[in-house]
Amino acid sequence: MIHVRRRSMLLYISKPLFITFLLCSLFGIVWLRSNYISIEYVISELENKKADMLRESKMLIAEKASLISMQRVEKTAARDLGLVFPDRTKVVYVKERVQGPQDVALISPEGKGP
Amino acid sequence: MRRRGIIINTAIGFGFFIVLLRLADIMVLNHERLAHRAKVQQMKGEDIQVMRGIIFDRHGREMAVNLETEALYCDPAEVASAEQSAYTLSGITRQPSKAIFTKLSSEGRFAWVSRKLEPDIARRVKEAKIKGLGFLPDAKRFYPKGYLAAHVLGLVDIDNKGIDGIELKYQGVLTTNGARVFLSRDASGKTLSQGVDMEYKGKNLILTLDEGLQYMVENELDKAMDKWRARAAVAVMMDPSTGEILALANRPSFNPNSIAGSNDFERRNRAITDCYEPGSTFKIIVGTAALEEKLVSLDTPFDCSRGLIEIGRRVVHDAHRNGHLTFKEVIQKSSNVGSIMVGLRLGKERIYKYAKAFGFGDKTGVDLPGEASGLIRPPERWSGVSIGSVPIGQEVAVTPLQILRAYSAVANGGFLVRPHVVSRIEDPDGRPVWTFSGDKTRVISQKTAETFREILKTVTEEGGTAKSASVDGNLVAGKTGTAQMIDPRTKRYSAEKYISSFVGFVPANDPKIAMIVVIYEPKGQIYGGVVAAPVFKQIAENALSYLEVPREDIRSEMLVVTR
Repeated sequence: MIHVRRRSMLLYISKPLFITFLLCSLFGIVWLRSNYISIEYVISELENKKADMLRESKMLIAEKASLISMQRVEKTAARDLGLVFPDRTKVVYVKERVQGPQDVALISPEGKGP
Repeated sequence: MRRRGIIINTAIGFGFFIVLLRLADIMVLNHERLAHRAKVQQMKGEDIQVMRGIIFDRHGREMAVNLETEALYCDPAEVASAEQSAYTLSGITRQPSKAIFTKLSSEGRFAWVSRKLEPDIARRVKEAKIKGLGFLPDAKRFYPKGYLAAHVLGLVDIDNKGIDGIELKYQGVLTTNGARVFLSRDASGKTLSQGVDMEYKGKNLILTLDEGLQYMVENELDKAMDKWRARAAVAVMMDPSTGEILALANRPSFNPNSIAGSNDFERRNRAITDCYEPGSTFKIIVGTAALEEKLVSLDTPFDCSRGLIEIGRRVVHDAHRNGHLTFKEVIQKSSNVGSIMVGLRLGKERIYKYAKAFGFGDKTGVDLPGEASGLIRPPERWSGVSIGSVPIGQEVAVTPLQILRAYSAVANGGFLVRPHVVSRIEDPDGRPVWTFSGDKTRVISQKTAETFREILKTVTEEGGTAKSASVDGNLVAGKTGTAQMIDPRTKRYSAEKYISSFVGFVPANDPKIAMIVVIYEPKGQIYGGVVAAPVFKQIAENALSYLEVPREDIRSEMLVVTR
């Protein structure tokens, strides 16, 4: 008798359970799909931003290259700062010889140490 | 009650049947047609943009880059009022209203209105919201240094295809194949990410050019053009031991950013495309050949006291009467008479053999388009007077680069190098995919090269033809050239038109740079030692400072710091 009641109880709840499961699955799929689409929108927006930034970066690279061109640098140096190209007689080349930190010496033009 | 139930069930069943029928129609009978229509609605085809590789100088400074601009197109069938739209667009793009109207009212469904629009202009056109217009990405090549190195870099056409210079020569490397991808889009037409990189990049080029040296060379060429009111000028600077071209400039020049503002004359890369009779700079052939064949020594005497020599019916003069000269003085004073005497000792076969060995009559193989091979006739085609012409650089045609390469062989101990402007090719991520590895060919012995170098040093010393090429603190070895041009009308040598040149290397004992300066049709003076040599001197002085080459005369005074 108890066995029969338990069986009918199972039959009684299995239907709504199945429907609930079906609905949940359906909503789950829809939810997953909409989330997927939303993420695609977000990625798409980020990609657009990235493309804009890359575009700007290209502009900035071009601008930087123009600004540091030799012609402009020389004009700025000569006109604005009053600099001149160094006379070779006034350029002294310093030869570096790596040795111990204590072994430092300057050799005068006569070839003797100070 | 039961009857009502039957009716409802039948109605529901019928409804489901209709739905099933429709599903069968959609999913089975018309599947392909509808699937295609859905794809058209949901997918959008887009071209992947191809960006040309970037061109850098030897220190990584950008010489050619890309900008992302937009191209404006129209669908004439969708344009509401072509006249009004053209007027509005004309105000924004600053193009003639009539030209825009023609495009907007043309037949068909597509017409370009304007290419390579600046971002600001594109934004203003979008804000105007004119019906029937659309935008497409349109990459634009930009040369941030303007005129600098224009003849080496070359330029591209409206479709970003190389049409000159290394843009043309390395077209296949700088670009890559594009592609078309289909992206999903929603009902409003907004595309969804597919994780596809929408930009393909070509490989980058690393040049042998040095922007600093290039600027110095171009600057001095401009001054020379002004001073001598010349028709044109060329200067090429090269590392004589490797063949790396450090600077290459032509005047007149052009701005590769505005192709419309230049003409063929300005775009001509004379350093490699134009041949000329080199004059005395060609005496390197008889000079080195005679030394190599051991026909002369430095002190071998030549009687040039008459100041002229007769070859067949032709009489060749020296610029000045020199008296008796040694072989060394023949080159130092650039005696035509002495050089022809050396040539007579060599004979035409050997002159030809050495000229070919130095690469005359053949392309140097420089990686630039349009190189000329020059001309030197084989001995069997020489006339009776050719033996009096070829030794002094007449009846031959050379390019400035060929002459420079020959003198580089003397500078580097006897090796003929291959001039080149691209040293490395890198992929877009900076990984090297190709590096230049040129081979050298020995053309003269080390001893001959050293002996001839000693002679060339005297050219810039007191008594030489190019004292004005000497650089304070460093020895210069070189040779002047003054060549008469052929008058196209008379087909004879012109008495007014000359080509003045100087080619040399410095420091003479340990050459860091070899350089040729050629000035076409200078006014007022004609001699290479007066016109071209001072240009060489000025460039060399600046270049040596730039390259931090110390003066040889103060080497003993150098400060030495040890740590």
